[in-house]
Amino acid sequence: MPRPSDVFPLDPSKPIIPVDVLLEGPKGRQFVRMAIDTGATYTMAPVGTLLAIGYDPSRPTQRIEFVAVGGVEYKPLVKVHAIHALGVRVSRFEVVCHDLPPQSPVRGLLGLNFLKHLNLHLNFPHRRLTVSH
Amino acid sequence: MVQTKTKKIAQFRRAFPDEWLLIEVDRFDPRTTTPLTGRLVAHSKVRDPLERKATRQKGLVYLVFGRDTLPQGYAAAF
Repeated sequence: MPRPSDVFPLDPSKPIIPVDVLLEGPKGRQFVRMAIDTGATYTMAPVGTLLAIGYDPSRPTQRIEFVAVGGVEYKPLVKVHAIHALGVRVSRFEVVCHDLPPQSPVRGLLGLNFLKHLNLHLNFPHRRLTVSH
Repeated sequence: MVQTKTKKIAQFRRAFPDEWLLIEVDRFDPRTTTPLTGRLVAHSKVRDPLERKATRQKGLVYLVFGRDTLPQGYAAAF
């Protein structure tokens, strides 16, 4: 029997779509509140969280150039053990290490490399976000 | 530094809507990946000191702003 859909509240009055994300590494786990960003190729996580769970963003296995609003930026890319969000877990997952400015109410962005694993429906008129399995 | 009793995380966020909160989570819903309850370890209007503390804090850490809105006059373009 398929797992039923999970429904989350969606508030159209908010300037972003926030979600709680759990990142797992060799030294632990941390929650990070992120904004869903369908315009971001990669998920973006804060440097402090990656350090805390056992990664060193100053020694990445790879760096990536990405096109941001302000221009092209060159950032480390880290493969974490796993990411969980919206009830879905993905193993061996690549995140870009970058701190959003402190004016941002979220510390990361949940990008397409995670969202492509979901059947996600944003229903603004009915104020609900549905993940179907 | 504060060390409160376990409460709902939503209660901490409502109590400090304009501050960053460092919370040690003791219960979360794996079905929705939602942190539910925890202890408030520290709170501050400035994020950086809590970022440093979060790096050293043991347990399941959640560093979160009190509300999901931008400061007045700001808009997001991620």
